[in-house]
Amino acid sequence: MVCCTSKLLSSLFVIALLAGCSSKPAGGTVKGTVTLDGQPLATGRILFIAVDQGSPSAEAAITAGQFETLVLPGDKRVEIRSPKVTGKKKMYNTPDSPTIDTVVELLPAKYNVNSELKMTVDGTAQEQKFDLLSK
Amino acid sequence: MSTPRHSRSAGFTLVELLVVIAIIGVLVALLLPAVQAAREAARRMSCQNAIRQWALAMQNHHDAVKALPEGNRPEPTRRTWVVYTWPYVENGGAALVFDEKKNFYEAPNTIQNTTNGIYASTAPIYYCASDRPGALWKGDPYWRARGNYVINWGNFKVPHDQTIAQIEASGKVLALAPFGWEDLRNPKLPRTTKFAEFTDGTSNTMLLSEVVFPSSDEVFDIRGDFLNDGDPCTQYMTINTPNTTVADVSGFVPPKGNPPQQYNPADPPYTDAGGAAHKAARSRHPGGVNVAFADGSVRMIQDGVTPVVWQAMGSMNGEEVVAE
Repeated sequence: MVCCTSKLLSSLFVIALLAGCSSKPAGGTVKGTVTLDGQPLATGRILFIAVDQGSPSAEAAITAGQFETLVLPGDKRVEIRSPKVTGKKKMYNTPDSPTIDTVVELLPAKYNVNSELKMTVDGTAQEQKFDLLSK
Repeated sequence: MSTPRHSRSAGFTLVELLVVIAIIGVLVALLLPAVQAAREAARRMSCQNAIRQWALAMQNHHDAVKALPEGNRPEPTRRTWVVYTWPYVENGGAALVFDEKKNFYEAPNTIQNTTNGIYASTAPIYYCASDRPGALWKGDPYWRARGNYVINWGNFKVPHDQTIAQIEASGKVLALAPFGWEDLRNPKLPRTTKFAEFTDGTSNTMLLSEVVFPSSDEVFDIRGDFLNDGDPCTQYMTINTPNTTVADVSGFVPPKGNPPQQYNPADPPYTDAGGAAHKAARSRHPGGVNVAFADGSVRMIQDGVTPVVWQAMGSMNGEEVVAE
């Protein structure tokens, strides 16, 4: 009986230690889909910004319309971007300069720069669908 | 009669030796992490020393020229704040050799595929000891030094979504950083700032902080390319908090097929698909980044600083109350 009590106590102690170690911020996993005109958005990035600027932002890459990331709780403004390569330009003003791609934003400004997308993150696992329109 | 006892006391038994070795092992195991932490503390202090030298150089520049240096400019030749502060960080030799009639990527400033150009000559003050001292940009043939120390661009992207006129029209308080462009969008109009404009107080306004290098010089990752005026190569933004998990955004999209275009996924997050360019302050120090304030003081700001406070420290005239 004595041995069992001590075992119990020591295991409780270890559990308490482990609990002390896991002081991760209490965030919720947000996963979901992004569609553009009904089709999954091929590539892009989704950004969750705290409306009151009181906690750090979170973001995720969108691949084939899917995304998943850890977001701190609170009211979020959501920005979605998907740049499209339109051409090339020279990096330097020299004849043998390397070229870099020039890009434009595929999505309208109401989804990123002047985003109207909002979401309330409550710290639990959440699923969210964003249906975007190109016009 | 006493012989066996005598011979026994002349040596140690295996068990005694094992016990001693085990005890030493435990002690070393306790000590080693402490030694590593002391080494990191020393590197952090070395880094604070370097960033403070840059802040003092800025102040000396202000004494001599009556204004802080320009952040960056594309005309008449491309250059950044670093060349203006060279004379004040005892790098006057570089300032003499530097040809201001040439862009930073032209001879003699840069000599292709060599480290002979003055832009590829490195100084210890360029580097944080916790990162990769001696790092260069070799993403293309115009090799040049990287540097861990970059200027405070505030809460604005490159180029920003709105001009100053549009922000004022929207009714928001205009909170400018010490460095930037006159209208936030046109790089041909670099702004020079005087300390008199720091109405938030010089001790509450950041001048410089750190960024991290990619893991190799050849990666097309422009972080730390502080001699390049393009993209946000020479500045950091307060849009995201230090060492954020949100990717730094580059406006330089290397064309597919250009060999050095792959980013290293082991590096802090980085993307060229995030819209207008911006970068966060980042460091290799655990827990935070070193920041030099306009009064010359250097503090370590923790990663967990709230965005409101971080952005307040980024502005020189936003009329915020900074409470850490």
